[in-house]
Amino acid sequence: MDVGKLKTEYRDALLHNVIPFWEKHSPDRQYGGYFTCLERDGKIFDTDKFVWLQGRQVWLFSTLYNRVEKKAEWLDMARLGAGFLARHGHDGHFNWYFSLTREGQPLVEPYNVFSDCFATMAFGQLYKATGDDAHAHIAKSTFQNILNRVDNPKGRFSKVTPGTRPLKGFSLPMILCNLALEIEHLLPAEVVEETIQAALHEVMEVFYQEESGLILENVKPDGSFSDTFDGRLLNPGHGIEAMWFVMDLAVRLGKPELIEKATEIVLRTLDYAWDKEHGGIFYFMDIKGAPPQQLEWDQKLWWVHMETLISLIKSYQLTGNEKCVDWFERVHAYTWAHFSDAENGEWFGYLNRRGEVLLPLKGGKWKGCFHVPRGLLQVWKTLELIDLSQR
Amino acid sequence: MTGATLVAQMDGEETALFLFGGRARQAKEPVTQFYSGVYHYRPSEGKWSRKNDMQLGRKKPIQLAMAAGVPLGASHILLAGGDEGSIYNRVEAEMNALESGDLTASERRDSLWLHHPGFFNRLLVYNTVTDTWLDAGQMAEPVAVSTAVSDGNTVLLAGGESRPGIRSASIQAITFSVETGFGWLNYVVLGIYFTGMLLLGFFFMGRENDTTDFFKAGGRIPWWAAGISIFATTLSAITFIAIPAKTYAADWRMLVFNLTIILIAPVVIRYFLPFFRRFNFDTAYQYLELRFSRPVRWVASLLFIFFMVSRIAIVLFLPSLALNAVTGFSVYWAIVIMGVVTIIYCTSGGIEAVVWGDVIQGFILIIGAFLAFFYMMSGVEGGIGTFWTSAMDNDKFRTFDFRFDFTQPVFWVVLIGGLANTLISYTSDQSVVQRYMTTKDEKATARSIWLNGFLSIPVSLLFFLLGTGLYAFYISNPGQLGVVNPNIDSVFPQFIVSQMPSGLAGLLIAAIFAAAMSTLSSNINSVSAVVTADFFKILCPTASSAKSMLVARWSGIVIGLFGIGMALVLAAWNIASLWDQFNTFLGLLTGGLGALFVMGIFFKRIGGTAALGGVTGGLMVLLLVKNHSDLSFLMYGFTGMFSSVVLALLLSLIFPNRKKLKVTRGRI
Repeated sequence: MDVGKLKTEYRDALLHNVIPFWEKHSPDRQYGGYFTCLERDGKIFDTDKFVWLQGRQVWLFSTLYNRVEKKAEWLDMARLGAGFLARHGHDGHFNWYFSLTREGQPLVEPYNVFSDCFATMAFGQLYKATGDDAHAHIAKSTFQNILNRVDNPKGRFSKVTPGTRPLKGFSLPMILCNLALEIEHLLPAEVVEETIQAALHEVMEVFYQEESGLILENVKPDGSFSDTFDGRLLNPGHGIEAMWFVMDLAVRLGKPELIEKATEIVLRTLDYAWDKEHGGIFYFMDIKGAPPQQLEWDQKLWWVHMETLISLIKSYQLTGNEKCVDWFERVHAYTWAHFSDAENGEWFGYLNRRGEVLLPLKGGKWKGCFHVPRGLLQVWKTLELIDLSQR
Repeated sequence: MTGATLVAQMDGEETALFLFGGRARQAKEPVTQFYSGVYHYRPSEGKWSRKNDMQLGRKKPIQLAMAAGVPLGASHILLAGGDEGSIYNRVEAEMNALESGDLTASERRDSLWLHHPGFFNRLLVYNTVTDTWLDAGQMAEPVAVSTAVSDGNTVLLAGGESRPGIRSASIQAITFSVETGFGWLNYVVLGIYFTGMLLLGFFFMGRENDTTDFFKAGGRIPWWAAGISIFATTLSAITFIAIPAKTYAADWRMLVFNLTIILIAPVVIRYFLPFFRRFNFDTAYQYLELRFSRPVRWVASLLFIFFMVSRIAIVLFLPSLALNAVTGFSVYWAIVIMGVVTIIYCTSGGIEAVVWGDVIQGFILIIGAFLAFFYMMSGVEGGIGTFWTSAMDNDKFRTFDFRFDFTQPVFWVVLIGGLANTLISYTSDQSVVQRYMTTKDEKATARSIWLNGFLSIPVSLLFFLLGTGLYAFYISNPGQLGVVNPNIDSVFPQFIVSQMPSGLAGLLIAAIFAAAMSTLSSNINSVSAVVTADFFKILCPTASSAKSMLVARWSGIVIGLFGIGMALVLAAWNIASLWDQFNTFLGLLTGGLGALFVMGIFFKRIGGTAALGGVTGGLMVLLLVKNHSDLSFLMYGFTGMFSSVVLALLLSLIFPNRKKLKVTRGRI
């Protein structure tokens, strides 16, 4: 693996391909916020604004400003979304709507706690750049809301008939692993500590299944296995993504054994989820090998591969495990060959099982300016560390 | 226009709509205009008028939209929070800049939202009567678009936005309190007054040998004392409190009502008095037996007793309630002390104690009213001059209103209603008529009626001036008024307690008690007169004088205690509205009672049967009118009396009068 060359490749893709694509096509200078529904050439095909994606893009440009370069355009770009979100994104109590019209009228109720998570990330990161207390206030208030919703994230929006088959999902503890570090600068130490411990416990001891070595997507409230569609569900991308959050935490807490464990889980998951026939990582699987409920189970999604690259390069950087390099090279090759759009820039998001482009969009309801640039940035920065240590 | 605040509240005369501020964006204007205007809509007039702009204290007007509004007490409105619009306008300006191509404006616009300091955080209180504004302090958390509800002294503000797009989940409670204090000096003055009243009763006790002494003072009362007594009796504490409140809140249109006695006095003296005096009746209703029949007498007597019990309770309860609101006196103790002292002096000293008590009370009333007016004027910025101009400017002296709107106190209503009601009470109300028999002869009685009439003019003027004075005073001192007083009638007692010097306030409060007690004592004595003369002496014609005397005393005590009990029940249970209904119903009966005397004296063809039929029919007519029309309640007396007489005349065609009563109408 030529670390120096790879590093440049990832950096250039980020700074000269992906970011310019979003800078060019996504800002809504009239109403604020961003367009995210972009065709392969960047043409806007829908103007609805999804709060997850708005928040993620604010976070991304704030992060670029904070970690890469203090470019005024990046901060302006972050503010463009932040101003829109602050004014229109929530219901007045910092419960963030799921989607809005272009002008900012709410469309879909704040049923989804991840809208809140990404808003917190956005304003937490933006505050690092601006030092504006109003930004900190939004991040803190929203985070408090998330903590209040931890035990019942869907609240009144839950469709499950009460008392029939309660399950808890992996996504929230997983994202809290990341969020706790993202807004550590805004929280009292004990809240950070408590949140980290609780989330780590959930991820590594409740959702992680010892006998299979895999991470379940849903478990019963007491943590036991549920032999149902939802209980058997695996989301390999989630499991792998969570592991780089855990590695970041392990570094922060100084726990090498946790890094080892996370690396092991990444490799085990890849082993299980890699499509040996066509290459790429499956989107959904059944832990018992039964047919999954999700029709899109065999699609190859951009974020799954992007997150895998991050986890692999981080685990390699932290453990030096050569298996990680092998896997990194394999996933890297697949990813760049299939997702990257050489013609128009940015990456495709959705491939069929055979690796052919299924949806030619660059952004939509779920894909925005987030996983690709974040992955490129993470891998680039990690490669830099490897490069330094190898010199 | 959006975001204006609309509140329904009494404006002193009727429930009206008040509209505050709001905002509107006119076509072609670059930004939204926020307004400070206040508009008042009076349903009976059907039009809007502009009032004083919203303002903090007497500083410059405040533009406000999206404020929460709630009526407070009887004549105030609270406006809480809202948006002054300055930042809103700056946001609009940035949006305009953005539209005209300045891309940097979006960041400035977003920053204005993000760093909004919060909405208007002051509480404004508006007095719907004096049209003044008061800065009532600051809210814990500023809100706009909130909802306000009030529960007496506390206003709850639920939710709202603290800044644009930031909603508040909090409920803020704003509590208003009236400082109730009454120094020891005032208590001393009150103590002296009550002791004096008791001593008065004991002083006359020895002279009351028989029922003639007890009810008619053996004719020993001088005409002037009888005149003052009639005056004090007809002027109850309710009047003492309510007239100034009425002229404070409205204007002088009721004055004519209080002056109709001048027109009625000659009628009473010429046509009614001869009957009462020459037969030397014990009660007014005795005449009805003589003229019609015993059943008519008893119906009238019974009606009167019911009416009196209800009145005793009300006369005890209402002033006690008003005093409680401003002094913090226990309502119960006020009722009990006032009631018991009155019972003691009027049942021990008989009519003489009542009449001489009335004279003392009358003087206290008038002196108190003068003092109050003096202090009021000294508290008005600019004194009498300002008083005069502010009252004139706001049409507070309007006395004559020649419209033909019989739902309102226009001239015709006040005149006709006043004449009818005065005639009713000066002919059929035993507590007044009884005075006619206490002087040595008919001539003296006539003079006492005239004296009462002439006293009414300056005293009415004084009381009307008091109300207008209150108006001027509270324009100068809007902060001195308790904003949550549930009853506009508290305005005068509140002025007394909070503005008059210690001691004098006690005297004024004693005057209120005096006004109540002068009415009360006459009511008690007259009921015992009715019980003794109209029932006991007829049912036990052979009873000894001593026994009659015993009945006279005890019936007074029982009726007084009964009244106290009713008043306590009123105070303890919230049945005031039920009581109102009952009381209104009894009030409707007085028209019929008055009609009996009119029939008896002016229409010889009406006999007992036709009379009772007429009264019953008249009552039904009145109930119909009351429930199906908006006729002013001032006209009920007239309507009842007039329809009873007309119906009785019609009935007399079927049931002619077979009884003849001759009265020689010689020279008096």
